[in-house]
Amino acid sequence: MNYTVIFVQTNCSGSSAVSHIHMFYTQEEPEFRHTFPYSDSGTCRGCGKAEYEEGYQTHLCYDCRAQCLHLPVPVWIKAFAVGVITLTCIGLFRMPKFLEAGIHYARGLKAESHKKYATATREFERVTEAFPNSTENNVRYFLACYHSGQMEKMDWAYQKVVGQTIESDDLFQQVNTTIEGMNIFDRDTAFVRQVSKIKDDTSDAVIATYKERLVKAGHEVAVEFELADKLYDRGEYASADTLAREVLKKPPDAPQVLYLLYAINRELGKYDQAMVYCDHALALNAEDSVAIKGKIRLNAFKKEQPGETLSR
Amino acid sequence: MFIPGFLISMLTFPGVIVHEYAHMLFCRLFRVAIFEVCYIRWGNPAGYVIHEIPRKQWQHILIGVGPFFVNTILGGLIAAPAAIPVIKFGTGTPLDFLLIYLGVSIAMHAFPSTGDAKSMWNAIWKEKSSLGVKIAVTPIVGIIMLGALGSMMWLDLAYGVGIAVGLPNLIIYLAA
Repeated sequence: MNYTVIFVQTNCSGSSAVSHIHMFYTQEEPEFRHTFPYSDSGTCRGCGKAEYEEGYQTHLCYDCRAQCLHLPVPVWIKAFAVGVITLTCIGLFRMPKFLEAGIHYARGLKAESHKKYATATREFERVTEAFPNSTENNVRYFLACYHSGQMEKMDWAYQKVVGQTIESDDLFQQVNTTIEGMNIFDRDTAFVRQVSKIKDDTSDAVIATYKERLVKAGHEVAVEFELADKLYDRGEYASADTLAREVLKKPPDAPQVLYLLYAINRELGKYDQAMVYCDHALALNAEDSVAIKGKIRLNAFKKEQPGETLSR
Repeated sequence: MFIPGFLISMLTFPGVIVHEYAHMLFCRLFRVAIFEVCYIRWGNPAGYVIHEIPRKQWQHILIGVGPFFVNTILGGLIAAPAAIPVIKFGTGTPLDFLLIYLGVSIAMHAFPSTGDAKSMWNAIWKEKSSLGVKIAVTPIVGIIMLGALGSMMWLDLAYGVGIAVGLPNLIIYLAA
C-alpha cells in the first residue's frame, strides 16, 4: 500500500483549515475498497471491464470515471448554492446603481478638493438620488451648495443634516463655520424685517435709518453690508468701499462682500484691485461664475485702456 | 487574537463550502475522478476533496489554485455592491450586512491551504516534471505557503475584507 493523504496542519489562530486532499496510491487502499471493488490488474477498477481510459494512474473506464465526476451533491448544499446564487443576483442587480453613486461621490470629493463647488454640488446631488439619507454626502452637498451659492438646494441639504451626527471632526468644523458665516448676514431681527420692506429704496431717509441703527446697535455686519450696498447703488463708491472693506474683515471669506468690492472698484476704475477681489472669490470657489464673468469684464475694460497692466 | 482555526472555519462556513466546491468543479473540468467530497465538517480540515492524480501537472496545479479564482470572484461579486452603501455612505441595511458577511467569508477562503500547497509541491517535485514547470510553479507554491502561514496573522481575513471593500473602491477610483 502506498497512498498519501495530505491534511492541513492544525493551527490555532484565525486560520482557515480548508484543504483538498490529493491521494496517491498504487495497489490497495482499504478506505476506498468499497468504491473500487476490483484490484488494479489491468482492468477497470470500478466494474472490472477490460477497457479503461489511458493516461490516468487510476484505471477506470469512461463510465466509471463519469460516475466519479458526478458524485451526488447533498440537498442542503444545493439549497446553499441556490441561496448564494440568489444573493449574488441581488448584489449584481444593485451594483450599477451603487457603483454609479460611488463614482459620483468620488468625483464630488475630487471637485471639492479643487474647490470646484458647482461641479461638487452636481456630483453630490446625484448621490442623494441613490442615498438620500447618507449624512456624510448630505453634509458635503450642503457645503458645496453654500460655496457655489445655490441656496435653495442648500436649504434641502440643511434640513437633512439637522440633528444628524457628523462623525468627521473636520466636516463638523466646516459646517459650524459655514452656519456661523450664514448667520452673520441672515439675522432675523426686527430691524432687518423692517428694512426688508424698503429693500430697493436708496433714499436719504433710508440711508439715515441704517446709519442710525449702526450708531444704536454698534457694528452689525448685516446692516453694514446692506448700507454699503445701498451706497454703491447711490454711486457713493468711496464710502461704499470703506464700509465694505470693514465688513470683509469680519467674515473674511464672504463671497457677497467680495462681489460688492469688485463692483465698487470696477466703478472706481481700480481694475487691478477689482481683479484681486475676483481672484479672492475664485480662490474660494474655482467655479464662481460671478468672479469669472467679472474677470472677463475687467480684462475687456483693460484692453480699452492701453498702458494699463493686467493683474495676475 | 487566539482563535482556533476550525472555529473560524465554522463561522465562515460559506467560504469553506465554496472552496471545496471549486476544487470539485476543476476536477470535473479536467475529468479527474473524485472519490470523496466533504463540504464542511466539525474538525480539521474543515472540508476536503479526495480525487485521483490528474493526467497533467498543470491540471493538478489548477485544481489546487481553483478556489483562489472562484472564491475571489464570487466573494467580490457578492460583497462589493453591499460594501458601497455600508462603507461609503453609512446607510447599510441588514441585507447589505448579510451580503458583506457572505462575501468576506467566501473571499477569505480563497487562498489555497497549506495542504493544497503541499500537494502541488509533491506534484512538481516528487513526480516527473519538466524544469520549466518547476521554475514556474515553485514561486506560486511559495506564495501560497506564505499566504497560508499568513492566515495565522489574519491575512486571510484581510484578503477577504480587501476584496469586499477594496474592489469597489478600486473600481470607483479608476472610474471617477
